[in-house]
Amino acid sequence: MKFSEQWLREWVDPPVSTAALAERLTMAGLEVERTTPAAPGLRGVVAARVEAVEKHPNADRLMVCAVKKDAGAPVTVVTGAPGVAAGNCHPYAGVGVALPGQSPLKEAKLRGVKSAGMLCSGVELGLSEDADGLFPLPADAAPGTELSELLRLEDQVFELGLTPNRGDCLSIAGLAREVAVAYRLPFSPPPVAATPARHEETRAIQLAAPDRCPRYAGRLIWDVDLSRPAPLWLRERLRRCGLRSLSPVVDITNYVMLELGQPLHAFDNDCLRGAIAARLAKPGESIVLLDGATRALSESTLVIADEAGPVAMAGVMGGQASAVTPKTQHIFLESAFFTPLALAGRPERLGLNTDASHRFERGVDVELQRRALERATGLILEVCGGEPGPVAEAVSEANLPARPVAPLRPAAVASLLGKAIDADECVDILTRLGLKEVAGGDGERRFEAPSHRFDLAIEADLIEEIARVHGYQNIASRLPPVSLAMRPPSEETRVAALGRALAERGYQEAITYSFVDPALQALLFPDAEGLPLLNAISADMARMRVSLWPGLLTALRRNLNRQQPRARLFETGKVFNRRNGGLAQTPMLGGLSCGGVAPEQWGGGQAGDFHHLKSDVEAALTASCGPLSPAYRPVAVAALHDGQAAEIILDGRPIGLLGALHPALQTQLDIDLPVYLFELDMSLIPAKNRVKFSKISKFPLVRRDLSVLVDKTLPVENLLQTIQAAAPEWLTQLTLIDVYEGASIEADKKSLTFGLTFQGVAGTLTDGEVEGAMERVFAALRADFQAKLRE
Amino acid sequence: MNDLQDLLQQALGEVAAAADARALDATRVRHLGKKGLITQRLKILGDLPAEQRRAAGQEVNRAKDAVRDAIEARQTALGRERLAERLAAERLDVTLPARGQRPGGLHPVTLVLQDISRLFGEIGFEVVDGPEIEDNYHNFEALNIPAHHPARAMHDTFYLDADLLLRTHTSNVQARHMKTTRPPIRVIAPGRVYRCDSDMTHTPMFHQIEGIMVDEGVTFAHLKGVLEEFARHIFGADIRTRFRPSYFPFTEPSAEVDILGDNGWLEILGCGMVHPVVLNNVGIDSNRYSGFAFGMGAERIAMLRYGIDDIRLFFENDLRFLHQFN
Repeated sequence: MKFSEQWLREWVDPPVSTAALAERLTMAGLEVERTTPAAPGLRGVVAARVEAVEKHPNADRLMVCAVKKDAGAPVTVVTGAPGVAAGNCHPYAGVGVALPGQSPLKEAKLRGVKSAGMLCSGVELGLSEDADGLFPLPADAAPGTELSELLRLEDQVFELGLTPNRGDCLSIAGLAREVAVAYRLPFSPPPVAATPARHEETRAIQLAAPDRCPRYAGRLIWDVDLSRPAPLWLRERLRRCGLRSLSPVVDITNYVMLELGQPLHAFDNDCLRGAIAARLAKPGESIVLLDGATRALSESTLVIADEAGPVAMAGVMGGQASAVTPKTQHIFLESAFFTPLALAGRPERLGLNTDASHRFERGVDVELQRRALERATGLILEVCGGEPGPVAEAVSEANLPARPVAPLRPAAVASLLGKAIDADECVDILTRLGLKEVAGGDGERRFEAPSHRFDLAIEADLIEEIARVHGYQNIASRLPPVSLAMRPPSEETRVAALGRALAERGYQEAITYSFVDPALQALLFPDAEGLPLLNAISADMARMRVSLWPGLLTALRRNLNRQQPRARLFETGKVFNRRNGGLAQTPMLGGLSCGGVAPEQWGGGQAGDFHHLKSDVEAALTASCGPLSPAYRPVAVAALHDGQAAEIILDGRPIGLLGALHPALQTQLDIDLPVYLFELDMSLIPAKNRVKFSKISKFPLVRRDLSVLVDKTLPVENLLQTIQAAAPEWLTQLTLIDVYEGASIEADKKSLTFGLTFQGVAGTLTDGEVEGAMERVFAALRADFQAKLRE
Repeated sequence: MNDLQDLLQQALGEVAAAADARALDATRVRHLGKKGLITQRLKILGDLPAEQRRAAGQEVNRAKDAVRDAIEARQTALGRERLAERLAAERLDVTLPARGQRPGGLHPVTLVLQDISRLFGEIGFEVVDGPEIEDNYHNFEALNIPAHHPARAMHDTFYLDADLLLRTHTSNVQARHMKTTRPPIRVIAPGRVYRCDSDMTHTPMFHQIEGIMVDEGVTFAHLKGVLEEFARHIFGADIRTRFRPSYFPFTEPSAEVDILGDNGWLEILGCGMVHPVVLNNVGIDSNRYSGFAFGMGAERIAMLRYGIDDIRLFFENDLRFLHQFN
């Protein structure tokens, strides 16, 4: 909300600078986001009266004016502004005066006529958006008076970022109360005189939804003259508070809303039929609002209706059909209290955030309606004339918001804030804020919330008010005493270890969005459903990810498109699936590698492949849960290469996937090099086991190599298992040291060379023992796989 | 015996001339081997008269020792030469760039989250996790934000259905964690949060870290103390902070914490004393216990710390961006 400092200071005027006032408001919880001058520098621009107007001799659209700009003789000014007429007063900028953003004016010759300076429009002055015509000044403005003096432009506009609990500060009156509290100044709102009725006509008012509208006041004013604009000072105030001038009545209702906080609405009375009801919309009803749009009304929408149907969406916007126009003769002025529930987030949903709805949603003072109506009546009579009728008011006392009463115990203040605040100061703060001490607290002091506050119901609410006004800066900081407790490492620690292991192996952590492009996800995971967002921000962020791969592949492509030749990325985060009628949010670790194992370097490099990635995965697993040997089982998944895809199995349970991106997808995604992907379900990775030491034998190692020929398709894992089973327990290490396929062996065979390391536990192994073991190993391989020795 | 002297001179000459270990060894065999020229002189001692034998024997042995010493010395010298040659041959350009893997690294947001987790870990805060797809109750209602509360409008929530949504803040962990734990509670919850908003200062997903401390006698002064200490560790010992009154439905009193930057105050986090309604919602007696909670955006802190001006960079995952934090 924006407001004029000058206006505020008419209500309460603390002896401090603008900057100090802004700082104080901010530190009282009413954040001043910025202060800006109410007008750009207009030094030298003065009021001037047009004495005479003649047509320009050489131009149809120009007029030559005699302008009285000071006590001296009039000067000649040529203007093209429409509607210039003798007797009117306008701002005048003489030769040498600089208008905002312009260089100083020089004497000009327009079509042969000399012009000494210019008469200014609102746009030229930075005072309005109205470029059409000269900025009007009151006819009695003395020529030569500085415009800034005349319009009191030495003012600052405060822009507040108010929190939603402080609807009471959406007015000059509310802010003035806060300023008075902050500076301990008296606060007494100026009295509003009731205007006596000059006729007896009213409209009947029905509260058909009293829980949403418990108070409705209205008044008929006959014979208003809406042909003249509201006075300049009023429009200027609206401008400074960020509102546009529309028509005199609307300007006045807006002015009263800014001044007191009560939104008002004026209807063209000739467009209303019969009694006025505040009721819920009926099935099928709709309304054309002031913005010209037709809105269907749901049955939970509170409307103001006459006997013909809805004439306004209550508290939000009036209807077009009953809007006040320059021709309006009689008006019906509404001042009502709509509960926050009556609006219930509707304006937001409909895109109809209006000044009125903003206030009603946050809570308008329920005692304000009559006062605001009287204030508006007074202004309307002053500006537009007219004959007011009596105020008609309908109230449902039972539905008026309750005034909560909360206790205040000094001990509670001290124990919540960590500082004892003097009881007198507490009571003073609360009283100044408008709370009323009530009796009957059984030794406790109790306070009743004022009607303008909707956020003071319990003791903590009162303590917050005390703390805020006392000043958070005046509560000394302290470190809390704490109880000590040791804890096991958290899951967080484990994830961090995993990330570091991958980082050491050249992986860069990525963070991708949890919602992905449904098309890409469907390509990779055609069977996965994925949860769609109801209100996605864009089509390519419309569905929750079921895997980290769509995000990682998108990040990869972006890097490749930006000419990065190699990428190793990993991410940790949740994936989302419907599972067994419920919702699974599973923490995953995923990664990809594309390009060389190491960055391009002298001495050559190695292209990354499936088995390199495997080593990275195992390194990560080791960092997380100690050395372990997962098994790998070929698997068919749409995203991966049919022949280069494996499930990672730990303790018999699949914990993740590993493989090359399917070549067809690689082509489709326009990636030149193979991409290797992995993903692990973090919830299935066991915690680190406690390590048990095993003795190191002091006897010599014996190493034997064994080369065998077997079927090409045979998984090495099977051979390793057979060897382990056939070998004695003193086989301490088994390593596959060579795989060969090619010219010197049969086409359907491969040669595998294993290195076996033996070591005795109780004594040095004899040649005979080792040879015996090697023979048993080979015999088992021959029996299980028809392995042949390779010479 | 002059010929022995000649023989010795000849042997020493050969030793000195030996170009490598092999030539030297040949020289040794020729002179000192079983059938070596000098060795043979020992064998013919028996032919000498007894009174000459002793002196002659000593002379031959001296010659033998002299040759052996010369061979050893030559051996050492040859070894030294060989090593020098090898060292010369193996000389490297030490300025050649390192080879092998270049380490990657963690995302700057992770680095910030880890730093914050570590700082609070040191004063006994435990890291806990919460769901990212959340229900209305835990994201809003349990936190004293009923339906249609204007505060909800500030949250720009992503919905999956009428009840399920993407959590808009990590404060959902307050409701979940406190429901299952009893005081003393000291936890922080880092994680992803979501709001449908996107521009230079907003991304539809970002990270928050939530902290909660509930115990007997926890006060607003403690909240200030802990967070000021935190700001000093994150932004430097000289950092100036201020606590500005604000409003969150789930804390009371509420505050926003600003730090003083080059261009004025910058908001870094929101905090407050846990609202009694929230404590009661999770079954903690608000008459006995009190607590504070705070929440901050990790990206914002990373942006301040590293001087990053566009939040979207965090999620583009451009390697040239990511590498800078390794």
